[in-house]
Amino acid sequence: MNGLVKAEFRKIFSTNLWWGMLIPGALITLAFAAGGAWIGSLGVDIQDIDQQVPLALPMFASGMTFGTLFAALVGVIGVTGEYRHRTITTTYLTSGSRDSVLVAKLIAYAALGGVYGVTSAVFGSIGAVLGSGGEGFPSVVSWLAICAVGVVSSVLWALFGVGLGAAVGNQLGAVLGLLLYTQLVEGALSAILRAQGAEEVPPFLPYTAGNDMTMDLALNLFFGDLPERLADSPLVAPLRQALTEGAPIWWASALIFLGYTLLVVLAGSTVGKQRDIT
Amino acid sequence: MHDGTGRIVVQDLTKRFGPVTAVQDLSFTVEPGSVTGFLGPNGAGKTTTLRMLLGLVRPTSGGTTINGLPFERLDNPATVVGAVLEAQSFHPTRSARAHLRCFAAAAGLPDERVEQVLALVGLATAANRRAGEFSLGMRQRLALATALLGDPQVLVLDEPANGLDPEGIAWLRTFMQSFARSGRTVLVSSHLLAEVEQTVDQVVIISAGQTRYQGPLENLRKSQRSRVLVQPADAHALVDALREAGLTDVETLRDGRLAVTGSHTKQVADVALAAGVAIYGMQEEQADLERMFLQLTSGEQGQIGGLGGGAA
Ligand SMILES: Nc1ncnc2c1ncn2[C@@H]1O[C@H](COP(=O)(O)OP(=O)(O)O)[C@@H](O)[C@H]1O
Ligand SMILES: [Mg+2]
Repeated sequence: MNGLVKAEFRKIFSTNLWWGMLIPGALITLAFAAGGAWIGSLGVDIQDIDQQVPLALPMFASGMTFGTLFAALVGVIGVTGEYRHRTITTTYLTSGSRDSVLVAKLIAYAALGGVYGVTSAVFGSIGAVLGSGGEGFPSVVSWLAICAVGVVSSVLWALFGVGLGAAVGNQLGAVLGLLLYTQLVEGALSAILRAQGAEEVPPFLPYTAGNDMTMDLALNLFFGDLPERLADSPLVAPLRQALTEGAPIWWASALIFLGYTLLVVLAGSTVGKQRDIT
Repeated sequence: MHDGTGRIVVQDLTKRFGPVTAVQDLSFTVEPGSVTGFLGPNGAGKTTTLRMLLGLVRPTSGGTTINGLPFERLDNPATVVGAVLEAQSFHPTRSARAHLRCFAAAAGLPDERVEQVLALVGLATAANRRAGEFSLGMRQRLALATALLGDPQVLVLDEPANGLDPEGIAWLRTFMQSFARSGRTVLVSSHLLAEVEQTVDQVVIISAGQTRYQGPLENLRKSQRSRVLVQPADAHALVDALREAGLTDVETLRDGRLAVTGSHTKQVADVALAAGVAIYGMQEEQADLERMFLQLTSGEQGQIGGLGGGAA
């Protein structure tokens, strides 16, 4: 098993994919966090609020959440690349069983997903410092909480990608499927469900659950950390209600998404064992 | 644990891809110590058979073993069997050395082994180049280097001559023979008998997914009796006379000549003279393996029902 994991790491780091997918997520998180921090610091001048509005926090979280898409993509592309370039033949010829290959990939890509998450967290933190001009960084405890949950969600998405890639096999199909579903299909589906009065269903869909685990925590921390004058304002309370009531508590979303991840991994294992490598 | 014999056994193997029967009730064994040719025209089912042997394709029925075990049950299979397969490939931007290091790690082998196999196949100087830039011949060498990583006891090669230059083919031939001479097993497929005729000792000939012949190439040569091609004035009279002389295997060729199998020119001439049939020309045809191969592998596709298209 150690050898197989080492082999997967060598595969990952001997092509350009891993850093090609790492950079966009990190830069997006940096930009989001910097933007949030900058807007948050405007309040001091305009609204005469003596404290920072910790807007950097939810912006940082949405940057990290967006970045998980790249963790998923690196898993999908890495696994399906073996079929596309037909190296899967050699991979299977040098391993005991197909499941041990899948497990080795899960371990290696979980670590890579962790690297993606940590990189995004570091870049986002730099962005927040830059955006606020070094003054009034949001609550460090809240910030670290988002970093931790963001890293976990990045790991889960990378695992999700590995499972999806193993289940689908075809690279173009798997990548298009992932992008279309997350960026288009699930949104449309949620809109339809809400229009039908089933607004309790969307939080249980995979992409929403995967995003909510970080976003719900970030929004709750954000409203909790608001300066008193803002928190008490009649504008904020309904906003808070609208943004945080719909979703289950963050760790419930995390568990839902973990369930989906296990499901696709199981599908990848089952389909992978049946597949003829011709 | 496997039995270490180096024997390959294919037993009643059948594979259907939807409506296409690629392999049907195929059985043969391959023994160590010699190079065995696995022959058949394109579409005969060679690649499918080899991939089933290596656990890459699931048989519809039947099974295969290497060293007494199905591939799935070999632990660290790379140290038991190495394979150079058709359509086996490399990541285009990964260097040859990096490629080998990935699979050396998977098989638990030290990195020095990578340098050894690179030198063995003559790729040491190209090791840092991307596999995507390699010629077909270099790719075959890299595939062979990958197969040899685990210093396996059994080597399986699917049409390895494809893309190799004559020099490469000669090198591969010598390599396979010395590999087999060290007591190990080589199974090499080809759709051309001529390509492997000088390399192999044993042959398994298949066509349309079924075994047509299995045994030493030498026996195949012997079994092919020579024919006498004769142009008589009166074919009917000569056929009758030949039959009386006990030569019943007589065929009329398209050009009107008779082909008498299992005889020689002197006997046919004597029979013709005794029967008073004039002979305008006569020629003895030597045993021709290629013709034998074609006879074994063609014109018999009809036997398998449901085989779409048919080979050859
Ligand atoms: N993945 C596949 N799907 C459908 N048919 C296949 C597949 N692979 C091989 N075949 C069919 O099986 C038959 C045997 O093919 P193959 O084993 O490649 O023959 P060979 O290697 O002797 O040329 C052919 O008719 C081929 O078209
Ligand atoms: Mg073939």
